[in-house]
Amino acid sequence: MSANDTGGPRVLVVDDAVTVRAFSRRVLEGAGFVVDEAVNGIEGLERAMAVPPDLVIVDVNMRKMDGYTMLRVLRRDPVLRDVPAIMISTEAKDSDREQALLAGANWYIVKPPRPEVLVEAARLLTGQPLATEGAP
Amino acid sequence: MGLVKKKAAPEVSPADAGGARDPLAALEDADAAVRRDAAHGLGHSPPPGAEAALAHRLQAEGDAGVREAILTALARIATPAAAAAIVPFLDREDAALRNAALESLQQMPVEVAAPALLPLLDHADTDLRIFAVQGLGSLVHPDRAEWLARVMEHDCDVNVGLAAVEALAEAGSPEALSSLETLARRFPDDAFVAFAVDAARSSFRGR
Amino acid sequence: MNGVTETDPQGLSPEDYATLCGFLRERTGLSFTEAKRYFVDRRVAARMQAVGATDLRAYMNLLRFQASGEELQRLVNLMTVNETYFFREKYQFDCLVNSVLDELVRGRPKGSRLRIWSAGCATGEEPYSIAIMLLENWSRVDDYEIELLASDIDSAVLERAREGIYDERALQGLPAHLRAKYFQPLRGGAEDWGPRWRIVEDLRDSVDFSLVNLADPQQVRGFRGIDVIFCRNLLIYFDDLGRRETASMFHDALAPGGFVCLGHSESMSRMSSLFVPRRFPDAILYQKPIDGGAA
Repeated sequence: MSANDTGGPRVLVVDDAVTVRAFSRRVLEGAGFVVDEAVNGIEGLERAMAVPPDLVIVDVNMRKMDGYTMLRVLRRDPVLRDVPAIMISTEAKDSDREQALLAGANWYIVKPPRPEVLVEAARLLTGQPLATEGAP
Repeated sequence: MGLVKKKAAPEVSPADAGGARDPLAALEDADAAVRRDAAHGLGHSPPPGAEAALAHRLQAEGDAGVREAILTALARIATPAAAAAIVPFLDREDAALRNAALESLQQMPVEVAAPALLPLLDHADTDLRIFAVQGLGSLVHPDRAEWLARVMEHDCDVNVGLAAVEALAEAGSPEALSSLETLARRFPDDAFVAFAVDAARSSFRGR
Repeated sequence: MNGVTETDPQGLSPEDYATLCGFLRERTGLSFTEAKRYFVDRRVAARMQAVGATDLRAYMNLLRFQASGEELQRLVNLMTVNETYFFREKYQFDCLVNSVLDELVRGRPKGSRLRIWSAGCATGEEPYSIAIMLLENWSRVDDYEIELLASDIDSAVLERAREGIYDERALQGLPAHLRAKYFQPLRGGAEDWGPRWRIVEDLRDSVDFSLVNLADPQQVRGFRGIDVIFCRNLLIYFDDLGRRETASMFHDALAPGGFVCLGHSESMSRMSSLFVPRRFPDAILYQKPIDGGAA
């Protein structure tokens, strides 16, 4: 993919839904990110440990290891503890946001994801210029 | 020291003491290893009432290994009572527990899992409906396409409909096309819905 | 029912074996001689049971005519991935002696016990490789009492493991000085075997082999307080629930903070929620959380 050649920030998308992973990949690669995928929290940790990403986007409900558990483990890892994390969920209640932040998320997005929200959050958390600032 | 040379048989573990006991009683033992063994044993040869006893223990169980043993035992027992015993855990606050509960339902035979999950399609809680669609969508059943079509055409929550689209993207057939299009029309301004519907469509187009 | 796919002790008839090998050679280029008989039998029997084929003809029809070719692929994977030899996937043994053991003994007094279990050890290459790695590459090996346990469901392979006799192919990955140190050349025997080597007695005595069905809690009850479990390329024979149960049993057998090593193509992400991945310089392993619970 061309995104790999550009060497943009690496984003790891952890979601058990193939449509969400594919959508995130398309949107984020279109904005210059390099995207990796995992189907649950365990695979997410494996991928992150193999190649530390610049950002993780993590679903809540996944089999084998849910997103909260994955973030808690991530925040204890000496190499990965500072990787910014977006939690993405179908749940829109304040208590859900709170639980995500307590687990170590830096941002919270309610599903279904809107492309511009995903890209702006990813840019913000990886220190990229925002669209509103006139990105190159 | 270094490598130990061959020795006698492995030591007897404390769990052996529970071997001859009533497994339903052992499920409430203070020792987690005894509880785990009891759950495992109940999974392979369940006496009457095993399902309810396992579910009752699961409510209070704090040890991850015992919880997992109980959930796999219920998946192994796989009676309607076992499925019914798991359903209440699908809306637990604890994300790990509710996801493990869904997995156990998915690992049961379809004729047991489907009747337990179907009523949840009409539950007021959106998250339970999503779980129901995910569970039903992973089963091999002649009515699967119909269940998913109903969700896409009627469920008021976009994420429940999307769970059905996801199931079709994993395994679908062209007969789902009209319901997919209905869903796309019901949520016309959502870029993700458009994308997911397209993805599902192209996954079975050309098959 | 348990999760283990039992193998048929009879195996395939000579005719069936020839038919299958001819088919595999034609379709995949893989070639299995009569010397591979046991190896092939075991895998074919496992796959036949997994797909519910009652005889070889039914299974061959699936291999030949399945549109997706999925079953052929699965069988081929089994035939190729599972060939074992000394120092196979050595990076995991490197991980053991370079990082894992040092972490495990931190805070433990000298002379205390370490338990390593090779689960599904087949003909013994794995546990003997571990023994050699420990003796050669872990500087603190003499400070601890190290128990090497090895188990398999199959009594015939265990017998061969105890004998410790290997052909040239199994020893290919071993540096010459280790071969000279831990093996003795064997003379005699059938001509078609080629040169064979036997593990020295001292090393054979260092591995405690036992017949264990991982799906039977009575049989695994003795395995407690284990520090590291190697279970590589075995769980592919189990169904989803069987894998989940076996992982759960490993969790129970391990001491808190203990590790599981799976084969390089296997991932705990498809098996169990009870373990957390841990990164070391040589490998990623799965750890039972120190507090026993999920992360």
